Amino acid sequence: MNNSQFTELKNIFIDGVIFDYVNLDKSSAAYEKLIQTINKPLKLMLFYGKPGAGKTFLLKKIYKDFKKKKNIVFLPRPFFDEIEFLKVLYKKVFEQEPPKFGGYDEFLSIAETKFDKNQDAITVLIDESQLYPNDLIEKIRLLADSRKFKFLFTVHKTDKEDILAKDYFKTRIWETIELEDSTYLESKIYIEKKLIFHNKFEYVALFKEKHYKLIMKFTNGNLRTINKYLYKLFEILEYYDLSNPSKINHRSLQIKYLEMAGISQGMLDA
Amino acid sequence: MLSANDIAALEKKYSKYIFKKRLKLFFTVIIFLSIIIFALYYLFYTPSIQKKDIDTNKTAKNVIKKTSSAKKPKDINLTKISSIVKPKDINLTKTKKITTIKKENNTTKDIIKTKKYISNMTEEVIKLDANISNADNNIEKKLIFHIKPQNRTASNTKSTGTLRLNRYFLNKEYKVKKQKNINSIKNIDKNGTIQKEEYAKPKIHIEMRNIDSSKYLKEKFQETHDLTFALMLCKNYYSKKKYRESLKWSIIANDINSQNEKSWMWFAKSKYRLNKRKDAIKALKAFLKSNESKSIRMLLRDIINGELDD
Repeated sequence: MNNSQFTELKNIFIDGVIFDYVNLDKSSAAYEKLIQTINKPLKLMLFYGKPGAGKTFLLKKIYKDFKKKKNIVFLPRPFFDEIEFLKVLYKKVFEQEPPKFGGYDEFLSIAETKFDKNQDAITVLIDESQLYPNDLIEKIRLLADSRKFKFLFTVHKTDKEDILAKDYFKTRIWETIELEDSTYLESKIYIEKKLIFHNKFEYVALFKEKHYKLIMKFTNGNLRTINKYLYKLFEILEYYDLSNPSKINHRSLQIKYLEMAGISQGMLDA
Repeated sequence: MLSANDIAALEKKYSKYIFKKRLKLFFTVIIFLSIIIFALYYLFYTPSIQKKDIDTNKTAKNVIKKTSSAKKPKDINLTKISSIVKPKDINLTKTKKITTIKKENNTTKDIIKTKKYISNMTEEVIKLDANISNADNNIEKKLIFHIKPQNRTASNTKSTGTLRLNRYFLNKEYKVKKQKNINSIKNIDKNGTIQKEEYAKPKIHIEMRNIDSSKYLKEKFQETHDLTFALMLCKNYYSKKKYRESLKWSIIANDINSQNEKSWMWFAKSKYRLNKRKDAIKALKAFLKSNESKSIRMLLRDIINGELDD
């Protein structure tokens, strides 16, 4: 099958596959604050925001930027078992296969023999922290008390559950950073930059103000939702481009297709 | 890539969405327009009606005022009333309608248009009591004006109203004199309809009817216990040849004021008509013993001579 011009555009917005760090005001501010916090002698830190706000992207960027400069570890997937968690942590920190150990006490005693006396604490970036069992969170806290590790918990902030109200975070977290959803202007910049990063300059003109407003209305500035929505939009346009090219206006997007994408994503009640 | 089925399903959903959207827009517009219409109606139409009501009430009051002021007892000029009708058309019999006067009045245009006012006008009754004590004929007059709208389905530019004048007579029927100099009246047609220049639109019917004068006078006497009504009853019954009744009321009148010579006169006349000539003479002579009255003397003379007229 012939490829449409929209096929490439669609692929730019595949969520979780294409890693583009788009420098937005709010993400820049959160990035700076995260760097400052990591450099402080803190044991526990909390980074939170709504799902899809770009927390994982920021963690990935921080890890990418600092992995060669300082001891930093990124754990993108959640763990539910203590031994499994300790094994992965050992492997990432010491870059070798972990020995057999029964629990966090053994892990800590082995790790202390490997650390230099004046060595800085290792920063561990933990994504999806809200999925960790409470027992494991307690063990992680004890690891932090050893001053050999500092942990940055990344959690989802939902309307129903205020993560900061949880006891183990309430009493021990020393620094909190919030990442909010994008504003209208940031969402617009995000889409434009995504297209420009992938050398699709000519398609930036496809989007007018009314289109950005509609996209903002559908996605509420959530970057993950924007990616999903634009993927669906270009998928629909791809179909028409290949099947009924006369229906496509190549100079400007038709509202009909934006609304169809919204219906398809459950953003509009049909 | 999406399949044709996916797109077909999406197109179907989109059509449904558009229909809902338009329906919503339609109802929104309808509601919005309804609110606008209601607001405009409330802001402009309702106050205008109220204003009209006020205006028409004012107009009505003015009309009534004019009418009533023209018919105040002291201003009642019977010749004037008679002058607005043709003498030949005036039937002064007790039950017959005498005359109809048509008037047109620009100021009452709104009166007819406004139903509310019509109802008010229908209820509006102006009563003018004119107790005219005439020493010569003792006529009690009662004028009642009923202002009643008529011809509600009048044209848009013209409207009419009806004014009824009921006149009650006690003893005598009025003789209506013709008077030429009525400024406001321009034309009189054959039916007694009078066109007034300044009252161009409304029709005004003036109706004159007699009522049961004895009943009326009795009611008035019971209300007031006034000698005048007792004497009027004497005269009323006497004229109807009900001499026993006239005798009774002469005694009642005499009880109220024994010095009033008219009660003695009616007593004597009634006695005379009841073939009690001696009683009549006796009573008159008794009165003359302590009073001096030319009319009593003349009556006594007539009775003695048997020359008493009706």
